[in-house]
Amino acid sequence: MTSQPPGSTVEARPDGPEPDPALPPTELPAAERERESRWTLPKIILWAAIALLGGVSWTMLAIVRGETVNALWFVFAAVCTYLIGYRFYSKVIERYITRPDDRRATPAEVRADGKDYVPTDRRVLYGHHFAAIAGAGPLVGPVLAAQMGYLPGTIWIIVGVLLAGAVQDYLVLFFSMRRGGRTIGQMARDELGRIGGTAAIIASLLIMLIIIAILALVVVNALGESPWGVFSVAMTIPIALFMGVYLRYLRPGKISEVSMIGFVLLMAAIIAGGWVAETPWGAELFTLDRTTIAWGIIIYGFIAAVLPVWLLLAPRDYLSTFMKIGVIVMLAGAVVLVRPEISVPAFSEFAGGELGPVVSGTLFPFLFVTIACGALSGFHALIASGTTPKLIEKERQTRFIGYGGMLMESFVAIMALVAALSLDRGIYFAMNSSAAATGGTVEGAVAFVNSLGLIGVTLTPELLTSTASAVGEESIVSRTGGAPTLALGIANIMQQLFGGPALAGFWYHFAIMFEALFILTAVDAGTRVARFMLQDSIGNVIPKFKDTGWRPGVWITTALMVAGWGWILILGVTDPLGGINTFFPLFGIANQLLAVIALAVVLAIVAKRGPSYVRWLWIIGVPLTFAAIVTITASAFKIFSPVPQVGYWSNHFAFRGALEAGETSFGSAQTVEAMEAVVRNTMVQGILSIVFVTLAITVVITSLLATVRAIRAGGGETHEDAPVASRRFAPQGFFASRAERELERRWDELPADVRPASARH
Amino acid sequence: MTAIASRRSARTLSVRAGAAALGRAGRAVTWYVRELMGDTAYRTYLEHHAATHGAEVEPLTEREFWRGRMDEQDQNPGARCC
Repeated sequence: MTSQPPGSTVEARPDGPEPDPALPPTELPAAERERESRWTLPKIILWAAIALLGGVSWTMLAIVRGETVNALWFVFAAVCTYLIGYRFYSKVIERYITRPDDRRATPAEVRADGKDYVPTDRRVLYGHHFAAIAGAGPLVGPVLAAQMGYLPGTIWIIVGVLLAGAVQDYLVLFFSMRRGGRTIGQMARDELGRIGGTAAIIASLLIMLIIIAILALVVVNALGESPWGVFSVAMTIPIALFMGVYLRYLRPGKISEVSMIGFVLLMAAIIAGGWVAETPWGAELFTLDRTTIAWGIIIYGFIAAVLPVWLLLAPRDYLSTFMKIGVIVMLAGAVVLVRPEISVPAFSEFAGGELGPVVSGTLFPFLFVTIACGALSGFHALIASGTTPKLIEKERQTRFIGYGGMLMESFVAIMALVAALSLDRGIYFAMNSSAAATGGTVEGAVAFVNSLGLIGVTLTPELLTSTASAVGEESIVSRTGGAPTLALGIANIMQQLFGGPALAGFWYHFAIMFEALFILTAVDAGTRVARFMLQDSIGNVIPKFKDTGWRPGVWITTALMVAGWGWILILGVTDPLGGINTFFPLFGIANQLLAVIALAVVLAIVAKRGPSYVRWLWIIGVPLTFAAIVTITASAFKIFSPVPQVGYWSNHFAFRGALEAGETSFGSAQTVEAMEAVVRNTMVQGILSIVFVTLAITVVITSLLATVRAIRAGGGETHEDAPVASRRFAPQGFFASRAERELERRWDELPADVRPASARH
Repeated sequence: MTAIASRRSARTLSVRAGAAALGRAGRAVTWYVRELMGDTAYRTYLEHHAATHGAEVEPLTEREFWRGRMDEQDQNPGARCC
C-alpha cells in the first residue's frame, strides 16, 4: 500500500514548474516521503492495534447480542474505522486520482490578495472548513433513522463516509483548487456542457430552498409551545445585534473577545428563559403555536437577508462557529465519560417494513436519504468549491482538510445517534410520531406507542409527563424533527456529568439553542446565496438585476427566495399528516441528488485527465452509482408507490378520491380543509420529486457521455489553471513529520525578505 | 541536607517544566482560537500589503479594513451547510 507496487500503472509525474534554485525544496523529496512511508515495527504494532480495537468494537455492535450495548463501542468502532480509512483509502485516492504536486503553487499563493486568497495554516483551515460544512444536518438525520435500530444507521454513517462522503468532499475541494476556486456550478458547465451545467445550477437553487425550508421546519417544531425555547432563541437576535455594533464601532477586529461575551450572554439567556417561562406573563407572551413561529422565521429570514452582513449575520456566524467546536468537543467527552448503555435493538421492528412512524419507507433506500449529512452530503460540494480552496496553502493538504474534515462531521453524526439511542424507546417514539398519530396528547401517545408492539416497551403517562417537566417543557409528545429528541438525549448524558437532574432543563434548552443557532445561520446565509444565484440568472435577461447594490433588485429577489422556502415551510407546519415524516425524505433526496451531481462532475474531470486514471475511476463510480440508485429509487417510491404512507401521488389520489366521494374526513385528516391540504401538499411533494429525479438523470447522462468520450479519446480538455512554481512549504497533515519539521526549519532560516509571507504568527 | 536540597530543586524543576508545558498549551489554544475566529485578519492584510506594496502605498486603517471586509461579504455571501 505504501511502496510503489511493481508494474504500477502510474506514469512518471509530468515535469512540474521549474523551482527557484535559491530556495529550499517546496515539497518533501520523493526519497524522504518513501522513507517515511516505510513500515517499521512500531508502526505495524500501532496499526494492528487500531485494526484489532476496531474489529472488536464492530463485533460488539454487530454480532454479540446482549441485553444492552455500551456507547463506547460506537465511539471506538467509528474512530478506528476513520483512522484506517484516512491512513489507507484516502492515500489510495491521493496516489491514483488527485496526484497532488506540491511544486505547484495553490491559488492562495498565486493570487494572494490578503483577503480572499490567503495561504492559511492547515489546522486553522480544517476548523474553518469543518465549521462551514457541519451544522444541524448531521444532528437531525441520525436521530430520525434511529427508528430502524442502531446498526443500519451506524454502518451507513461510518462506511458511507469513507467510501462516499469524504471522497466527494476531498475530490471537489482538490479539483476546485486546481481551478482557482471555481464553484461546482461553474465546473459542471465547463465539464458537462450547457445542458448538464444548467441542470446542475437549477438543481442547486431548488435544493437550497428545500434544505432551508426543512431546516426551518425542524426549528419550528422544536420551539412550538415552548416558551423557554422561544425566549432564549429570540434573545440570540439582540445578542447578535449587540455583537455587530461592538465589532463595528467599539472594538473592530476583536472577534474572539466579542464571541466570548456573546457566549456568556447566550448562557444568561438560556438561564433567564427558565425563569421567564415560569412567570405568567412570560408563559403568555412566549407560548406560540407553530404557525406563528413559522411566520416569525419567514419575516426574520427576509430582514436578516437584506440587512448588512456586519449587523446580524457575521456576528451570529462567529457565535455559531464558537459554539460548534465547543459543543462537539464537550459532547464527545461526555459520551466517553458517561458511557451510556443502549437498549435499542440492532434492527428494530421497523427495519424490515415501510410503515415506521418516524419516517416512512423501506430501509433501502430510505435509510440512505434520511441520513444524508454525516455520511454523504451533496451540499458540501458548494462549500468545498467556494471559500476553502482559495485558502489552501499546499496541494497535499487537501486530503487532510477535505477527507479529514468530512470524517469529523461523520463523528458528529455518530454522537447524535448515540444521544438519541440512549433514550427510552417509548419516549423516543412518543416524541417522534406525528401528532396525526398521537393526537398530540399524553394519553394518545401512550395508546399509540403501546399499540406499535415494540418488544420490551411499555410506556406510561407518568413517564411522559415527568420527563417533560424534568426539562421544563409542557409536553414532549410529538415533538418531531429530531432536535428535541437529540436535546433530550444530550440533557440525559450531560446532567450525569454536570449538575444532575436540576440542570436537565438547562442542558435541554442549551441543545435546542445551539441547533437553532446553526439552523438560523444556515437560513440567512442560504437565503443570501440563493438570492445571488437568482440575481445572476435574472440578470442575464434584465441586466439591472446583476447590480448587487441596486436595492429594489435585492428586495425583489430576496422576497422571491424567501417566498419559495417560506411556502414549503408553511405547508410542512400545517401538514395534517405530520410534516417532518412526509417532508424530511425530500430534504435527504435533494441533498443526495446534489452529491450525485458533484460526483458526476468529478467523474468527467478525472476521465479527462488521461488513460492512466481509467483503472481508478471506480473510486468515484462506486459512490456515484450508489447515490444515483438511492436517489432514483427513493424518488420512484415517492412517485409510484401504491402505499399511501410512502407514495406522494397515491396519497394524493386517495385523498382526492375521498373528497370527490363527498367524504368529510379521511385517514388522519378530520376536516375537508385538512383533506384539501393533504391533496395540495402531496402534489407539491410529488412534483418536486419528479423535478429532482429528472435533473439528476440529466446530469448523470451528460456526465457519462463526457466520461465515455474522454476514455475513448484517451483524455480530454483540461480546465485547470496553468501551473506556477510554488515558493513556500508547509506540512501536509495535522502533525508535521520529522522530515517536514526539518524542511520547515530550513525555510524559517531564510532571510526575511525571501521568506514567504506566512499566516503563522 | 544536600539530598533534601536537590530533591527540592528537582521538584521546583518539574513544577517549572509543568508550568512551561501548560503555558505552551495555553498559547497554542489561544493562537488557534484567534486564527480560527479571524482576529488576525488585519495583521495578515498588513503583512501582505507590506510584502506587495512596500511603504509607498498607505495601508487601510484597522477600522477601514474591517468595514471593507464586511462590505465584501455583503457582495459575496458564503453558504453555510446544514
